Amino acid sequence: MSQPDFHAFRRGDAVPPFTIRVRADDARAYLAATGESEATTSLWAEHAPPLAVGALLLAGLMDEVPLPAGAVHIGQDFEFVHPIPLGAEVAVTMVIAQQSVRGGQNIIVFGSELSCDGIVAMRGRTMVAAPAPVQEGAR
Amino acid sequence: MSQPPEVAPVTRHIDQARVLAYADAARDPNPLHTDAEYALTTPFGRPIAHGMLVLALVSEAMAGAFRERWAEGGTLSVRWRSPAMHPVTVTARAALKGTKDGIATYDVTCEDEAGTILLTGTASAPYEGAGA
Repeated sequence: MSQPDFHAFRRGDAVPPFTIRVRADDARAYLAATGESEATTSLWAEHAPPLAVGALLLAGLMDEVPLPAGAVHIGQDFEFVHPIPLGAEVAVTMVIAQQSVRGGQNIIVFGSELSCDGIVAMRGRTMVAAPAPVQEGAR
Repeated sequence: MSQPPEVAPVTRHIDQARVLAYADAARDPNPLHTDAEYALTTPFGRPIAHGMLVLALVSEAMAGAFRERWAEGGTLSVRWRSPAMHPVTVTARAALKGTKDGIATYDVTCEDEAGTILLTGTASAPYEGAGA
């Protein structure tokens, strides 16, 4: 099955659902990479650091939707509803919440909902801008 | 926690090693962050740190103040304003904006050592009624 085309997305379209999982070693690698201090790393002994989940959410998005050259992550919203246990399978559903072209940039807002065992644990809105394709006859 | 807490700033040096480690941990293969030759072809002209790596400092600051509650009702809403050209030292700050119904909302920023604003937005978290 071919992957979705970033520029073909319109409001209401869905990204194919996917799952992510933050294991203990993923969390350790994330915390080491970000350099998070010991004052807070102790909070994440049993649950995933919220933005480690966010990082893997974006990785999952990029797996499902190849981003065009020049794509830039311009904004991000998160709502952390429940802590996500390390190792838990997280089901991700994602829809196009907004799509617009401004200043030659195609701006897409991906709205996401992350659930563990059917209960929503986190929501997100990911704003990505990429140079809009030049329309035939537009020159 | 009957009053909203002060959120202490978090400062961190972000260099190439940290960016490479983050690219691996976050499974983000975008060469914009890691490949100097590729970055030359972009409007930035050189590799930039992942926006989410910069945002991680805000989350750390909020978690430091709100502890477990940060993952049980916290929110973030941010826009990246300037790229973080590494090596760079980034400071995340949060200033109390207001409170309502036991939720404290902060204006958050990240800036580099030159004072360039990298990120702005808001963060909120519950500070009442969930036990201390």
